Amino acid sequence: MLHIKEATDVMLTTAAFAVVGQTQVNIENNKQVDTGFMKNTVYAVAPGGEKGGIRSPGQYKSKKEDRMVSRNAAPQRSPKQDGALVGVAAEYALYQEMRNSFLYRALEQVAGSQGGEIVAAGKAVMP
Amino acid sequence: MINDQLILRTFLAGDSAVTAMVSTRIYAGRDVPPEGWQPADGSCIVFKRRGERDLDERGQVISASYQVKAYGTGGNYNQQVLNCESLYRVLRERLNYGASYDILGIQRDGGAEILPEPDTGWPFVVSFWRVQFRKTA
Repeated sequence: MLHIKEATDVMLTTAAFAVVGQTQVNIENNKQVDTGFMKNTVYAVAPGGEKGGIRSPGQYKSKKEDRMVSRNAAPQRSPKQDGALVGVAAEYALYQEMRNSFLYRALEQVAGSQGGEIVAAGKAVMP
Repeated sequence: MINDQLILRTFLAGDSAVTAMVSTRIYAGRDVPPEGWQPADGSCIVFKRRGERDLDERGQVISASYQVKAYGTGGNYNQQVLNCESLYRVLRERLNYGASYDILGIQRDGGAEILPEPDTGWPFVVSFWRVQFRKTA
């Protein structure tokens, strides 16, 4: 049972970080990058609570406006018990997601990718 | 071919409680109301597909997810908030576990949050729904 739990956690973590990467690709492909703040605040929280670093809120150079603009952070969330979570900590991310989905699309893309790397990560932990 | 957004619009427009609130103002394939619409014109529904996948190899059944935004009528923000919440309640009654000849089932996919539109300040309730359609012709 312990090995299964461990493998499950590793697979969840691998899946979460795969979604992070795909989300960042989608933001680029959707041409939703201005300061880069949103793209660099995509984060995953693993079942153990570990998470990747993200950009801090502050002043960033806007390519569209050719000036410094303020970028605020939204509260970061924690996963429910035994889960992993992917979020975007830019305050305005939900509006961008509603205009042209990058996060939901990433979830579907990773879910539809047959999970090769995710399964491999789980197998690597199993005896 | 499954014309999912037309089917979903027809499904919403087929409910008298929904049309009592929005008349024909149900806008498919959009994330904001059409240009020229204002809250004083009457409440409206705006929805857009955000992803889909085939549930069988021949594409006879698809499962798609939609963001559905309910905008409320009213002369001020408070009235608009109350009316968009009322519209959301009616929408939820229609959508939650809804079905028709073309629609095999509908489940909530998250959401139900009041937010202001960044450009105009108009409040809306956004919710997300997963709908399974079957090919009927």
